[in-house]
Amino acid sequence: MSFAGVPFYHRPRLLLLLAISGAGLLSVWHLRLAPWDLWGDGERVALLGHFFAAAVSPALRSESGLATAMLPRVVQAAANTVVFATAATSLALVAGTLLGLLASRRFWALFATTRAIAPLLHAGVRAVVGLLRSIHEVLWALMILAAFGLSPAAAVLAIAIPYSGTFAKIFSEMLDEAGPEASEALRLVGAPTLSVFAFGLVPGALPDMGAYAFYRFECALRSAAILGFFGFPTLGKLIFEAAGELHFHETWTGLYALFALILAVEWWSGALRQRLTVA
Amino acid sequence: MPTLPRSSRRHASWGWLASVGEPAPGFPRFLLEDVSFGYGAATALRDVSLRVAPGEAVAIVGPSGAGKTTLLRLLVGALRPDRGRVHVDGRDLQQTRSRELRAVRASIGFVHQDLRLVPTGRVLTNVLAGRLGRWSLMRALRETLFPRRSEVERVHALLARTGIPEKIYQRVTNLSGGQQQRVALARALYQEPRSLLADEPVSSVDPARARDTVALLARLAKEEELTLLASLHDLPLAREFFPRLVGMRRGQIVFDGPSRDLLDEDFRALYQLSEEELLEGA
Repeated sequence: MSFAGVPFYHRPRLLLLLAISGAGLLSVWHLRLAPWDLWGDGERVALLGHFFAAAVSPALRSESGLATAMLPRVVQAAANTVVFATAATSLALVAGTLLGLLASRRFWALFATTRAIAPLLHAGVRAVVGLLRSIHEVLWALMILAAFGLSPAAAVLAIAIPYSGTFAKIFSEMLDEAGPEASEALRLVGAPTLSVFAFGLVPGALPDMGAYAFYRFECALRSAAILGFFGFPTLGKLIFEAAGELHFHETWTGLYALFALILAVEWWSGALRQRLTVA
Repeated sequence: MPTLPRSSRRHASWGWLASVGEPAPGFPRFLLEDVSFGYGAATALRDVSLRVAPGEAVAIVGPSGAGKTTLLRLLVGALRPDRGRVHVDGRDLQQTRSRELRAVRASIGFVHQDLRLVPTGRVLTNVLAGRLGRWSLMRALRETLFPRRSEVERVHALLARTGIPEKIYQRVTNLSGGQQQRVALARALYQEPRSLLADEPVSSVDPARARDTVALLARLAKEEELTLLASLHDLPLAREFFPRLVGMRRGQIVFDGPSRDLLDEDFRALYQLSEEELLEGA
């Protein structure tokens, strides 16, 4: 096989494409993937039918015997979701910003000429950041719950820990990519090293950092909802419990509430991001 | 426009720099002794010597690649010479410790060719940044996040002198090239320097504004009693506004003297590229 006289083993992109396709096929074979397995017996298909049929008529009253109104419960759960997400994002933002400064190449480069230990510290911070974000918030929740039991702080920490790692990684990259011109000018004004960093580099990265923080807040809402599965009083708990009792109309009420919440925050943060970057 | 009192007398905010002190009298402001500098294998300056007295206004003229920017950057210690010595106010930059070097830099306002403003910042913040060399980080945060009314008024007055007072709360990205240059100039003046270095100050403005810009630069330097060094392409402008011209070509000074003494042949020699140079440029 050759194109225009170049043998295939000298075509790196073609080889890469073949390797990726090969890996994909190998995984399908290894897992014995078969879409028809999803159907199983008739009972499961019927259940699936019920679930999707309930989508057009979300419950306004509880499907349990008491038939209490859904709205106060949903509003309460949605509010809890927002509160957990806000607390976790705020905490992660503070920790992530500090770690992000310490994880950026630029920050250590300012000291590199005088401190031989800088590369070591830099590598250490990056390792910590990697560790924080390589463990998913659900796993952090499992560990923290096992250690401290079910408390609001447990949920907030479970989200805040991996998020501070993610903030740190993204913020450090944004700082490293900010243009060097302004900071060079401030260095020549005679500014001390930390001022060069704070006034020459950070402002250039700030709009992007702000925009990213809003995006992470949206992610935190989804994470807070998911942590409801462990018993925290967020929308996830409502959805999880309703689905467990096969109250699909209630389940859909919870799902729609989550959907509306995410859309509202997306719209709001989109508007804010626009103002941050354009104004 | 009314002339305001000289800013460094008006305002004693030298902070820790006060300990470094005023330069001893009698020293030239800038002194280069047999300075050579190269970027890797490419030589940018070869055995350049230059002496500039306090209060002088000097234009450095010559074609692109003559070494004008390199010369200016050596004077603020942005580059270190490969050979020779650079002195500012009698201080050998090779032997200054970082604190002293910062003091020297704080005494020199530098208007960069590409301006180098903080792009997301407002005009006010950018001008306030001129004083960063005098402030610790904490003081700088306080002064820029919660600027005092008196400082805002001072910045406003400086912007009025550079011609854009109404832009004080605008973001610099919303300004034209010429307006941004005035912000860079105001930043350099707010620094309360003893000297002002301007690298190709007319490259970011249209030719019609070039004369205004150079005139403004020369006037402000005179009013503030600053030593002024500007690199310029435009010979007629340099001749009109600067009493002393330094001509550079291929990393060397080819003439240095009062502008009125320079003959047209000198200028021709500066810009008439030899066949060899034309081939290098190709």
